[in-house]
Amino acid sequence: MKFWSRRTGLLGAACAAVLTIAGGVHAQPTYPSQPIRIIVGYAPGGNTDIPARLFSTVMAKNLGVSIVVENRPGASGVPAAEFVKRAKPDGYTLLWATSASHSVSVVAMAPLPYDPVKDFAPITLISQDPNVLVSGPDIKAEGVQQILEYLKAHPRSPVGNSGPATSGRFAMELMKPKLGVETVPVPYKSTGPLLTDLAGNQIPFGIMGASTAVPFLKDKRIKAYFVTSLTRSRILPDVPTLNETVSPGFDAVAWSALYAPPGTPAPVVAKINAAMREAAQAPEVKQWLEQSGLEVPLGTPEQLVAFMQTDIARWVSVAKDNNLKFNAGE
Amino acid sequence: MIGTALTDLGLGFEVAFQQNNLLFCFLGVLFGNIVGVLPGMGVMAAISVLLPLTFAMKPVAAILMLAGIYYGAQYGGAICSILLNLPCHPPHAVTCLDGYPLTLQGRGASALGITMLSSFVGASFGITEMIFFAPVLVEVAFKFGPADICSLMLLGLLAGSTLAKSAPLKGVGMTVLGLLLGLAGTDVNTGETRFTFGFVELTDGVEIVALALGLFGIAEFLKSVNNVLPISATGTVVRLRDMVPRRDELRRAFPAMIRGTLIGSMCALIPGTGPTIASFVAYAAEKKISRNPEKFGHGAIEGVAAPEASTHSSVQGDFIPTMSLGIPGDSVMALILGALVIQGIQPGPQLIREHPDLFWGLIASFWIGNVLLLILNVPLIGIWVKLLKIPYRFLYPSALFFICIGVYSTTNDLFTVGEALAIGIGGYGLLQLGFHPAPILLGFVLGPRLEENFRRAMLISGGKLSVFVERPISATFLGLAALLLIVQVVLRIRLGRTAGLQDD
Repeated sequence: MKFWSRRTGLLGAACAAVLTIAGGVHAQPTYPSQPIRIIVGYAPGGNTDIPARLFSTVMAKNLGVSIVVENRPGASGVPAAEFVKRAKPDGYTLLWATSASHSVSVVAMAPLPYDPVKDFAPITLISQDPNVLVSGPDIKAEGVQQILEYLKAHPRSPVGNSGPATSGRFAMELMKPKLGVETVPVPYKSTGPLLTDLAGNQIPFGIMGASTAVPFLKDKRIKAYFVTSLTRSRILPDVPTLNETVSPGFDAVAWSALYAPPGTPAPVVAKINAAMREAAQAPEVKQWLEQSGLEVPLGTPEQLVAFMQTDIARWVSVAKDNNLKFNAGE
Repeated sequence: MIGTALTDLGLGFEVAFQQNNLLFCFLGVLFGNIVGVLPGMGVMAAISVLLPLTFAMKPVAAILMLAGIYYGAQYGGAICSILLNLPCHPPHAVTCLDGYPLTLQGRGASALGITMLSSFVGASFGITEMIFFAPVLVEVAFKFGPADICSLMLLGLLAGSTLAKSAPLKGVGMTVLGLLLGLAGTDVNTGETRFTFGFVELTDGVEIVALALGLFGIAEFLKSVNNVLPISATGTVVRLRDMVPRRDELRRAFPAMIRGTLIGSMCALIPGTGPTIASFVAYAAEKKISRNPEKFGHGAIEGVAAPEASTHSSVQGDFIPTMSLGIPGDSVMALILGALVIQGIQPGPQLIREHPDLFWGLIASFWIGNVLLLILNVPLIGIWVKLLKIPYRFLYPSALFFICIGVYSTTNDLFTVGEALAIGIGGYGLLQLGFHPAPILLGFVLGPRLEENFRRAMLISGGKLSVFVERPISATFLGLAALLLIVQVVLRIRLGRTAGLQDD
């Protein structure tokens, strides 16, 4: 005795087929009508995660949907980026990325499983953090000129950085052709241990984001010499830039930006862009920005792309000039 | 220094006893305790879920709650280790070694009682030490450079190979396997990926929670299929009297608790050593000091008391450098600091000066929280032990279920669950071959740190190996390591000689 007849089976298959087709057709509600996920490629509580949470809390209120920050830490944000690249381009999965995964990694972690410019729909640049060169209290030098002389007199000085795919590490490489200063990069997995070693004079120099250096600088446990951005940092107003002193045009900052999967419709991108700009005016976001001293050049998607292309080109040429080779993939 | 510390503490207690703060502290430790019991269920996941809630709270209450979750989870972690041979979190892996045999002997309840006591002692004494010596000790932490940490890790690896229940060579083999597993991931100096086999998810290495739960959870479960060891019946009917440990057990456990506490506090200071390392070191130290080392692995109460005291002391101690320097010791601390940043408080060396109520309120709340946890947990021991009455065919799959969820919550990626499964299957093979997996965890945790610090020390010294003996701290550790080796060799020779004499 057959369990079910051939006819029933065919009928069942036909119904299932109709149902699946029917599932795909429905009225498109206006965006956003569902919760939005923002993927962050770093652990919760860190420098990338916090602004994501601050912005998303405000945006959720303004847009009327809940926004959840989902952390997928690891490998400088590259796996998180790859995850979003493969997500549905409906505007409900976004990527809060940094220069580590979308600029420096082109060189430091080649071959990347994506193209940062082509494989993502850009929404806006979010923040920029200049890099600052610091040292422990034992180094006897003050100011840009003296420290550059010191570095030239002691070639191949160790300079700690907060990771192999950070703009800081590559900023030091950029100094070789531009300033004739050769240093040895000493990577750390994060800024914390680097700060401890600097304060204890275990390593003479370090380069890191200004926002992370401020607490120790205020406590006079480390000294700052210059920043690598075009303009001075708001929280380090006394620290000169390389641009204004010895190397006009020197620009090497860490940045963060918001992306969507490739193919996300332009109206959706525009809406998110507007929501971000609105959120940046909220008092709690403004307070955090003041404290961390980050520049917040929220702009258009086109501006983000232009900025990225300049940044990537910079690192590619540095790697070529200094003959740096990395091999991150199989 | 002691005078000011006392007045500050007074302020702290005032702050901590405020109704609002007390309530959130209690909620934190309660939630933490529950989360801690569930295997793998990360403290990270719990705290990040509650993080948005803290935006609306006052900073003091927020941090009291989050901190409560963190150290509360440590209390729950020992329960499964002892009763089910399943560590809920990596630091409790060592507790299984002697805790589970005690359960099999029917003394699970008393083991739990001792554990709770050790946890309380470890936490309280740990806090006290840290309060009074914090400024001095923080400066000590600065003196540790990469070379010193590297030598310390080497010492730890050598000492750790004695954790094996079986032949020392097998222990060394397992440690090396752990080292190899620790190699997987991205090399921080060259950016090159090692042992990732093309998986982008492995570029940050094997997840430690997956490793611990796979090895100690899944592997053990696989082994116990059709092979479950009977639990002595006397252990499952628990009266309050049973929970009170026997006098001789207390007498032996108490010094172990103190020693564990000291070790845990030291580990809290040395950068890069966390509760996992603290518990391993305490266990190894107990085994070395004990007059009957062969008891370990078969229900030595010191082997439960010391690691637990050490873990708790290290967890509480971890807050001090974190709060006083603003440098988080691990990712959970980073998250707690992150919660402060969102509140508008800048963590860093000036935190104590700018927000003394926050700092001292937190310290005071540690005591309050630990007392609350003790009151919570002691009566619950009876309920936990009743867990053992549940037939294994329900208990083990449920535990597996929680393991999967817990492991998934660490990275929100199913790949990690696959890692745990693969490691579990591999671990099962090892168990069948008579290897014990505990040293794998040790090699996995210490190995990468040894390598990272070795290369960093060499980069900074410009390639001179002599830096390891020129620096006094490093030289001391290396000397101790050499001593350890020599003692082992001499003991072996002597054993061989007496055995030879006895043959005559």
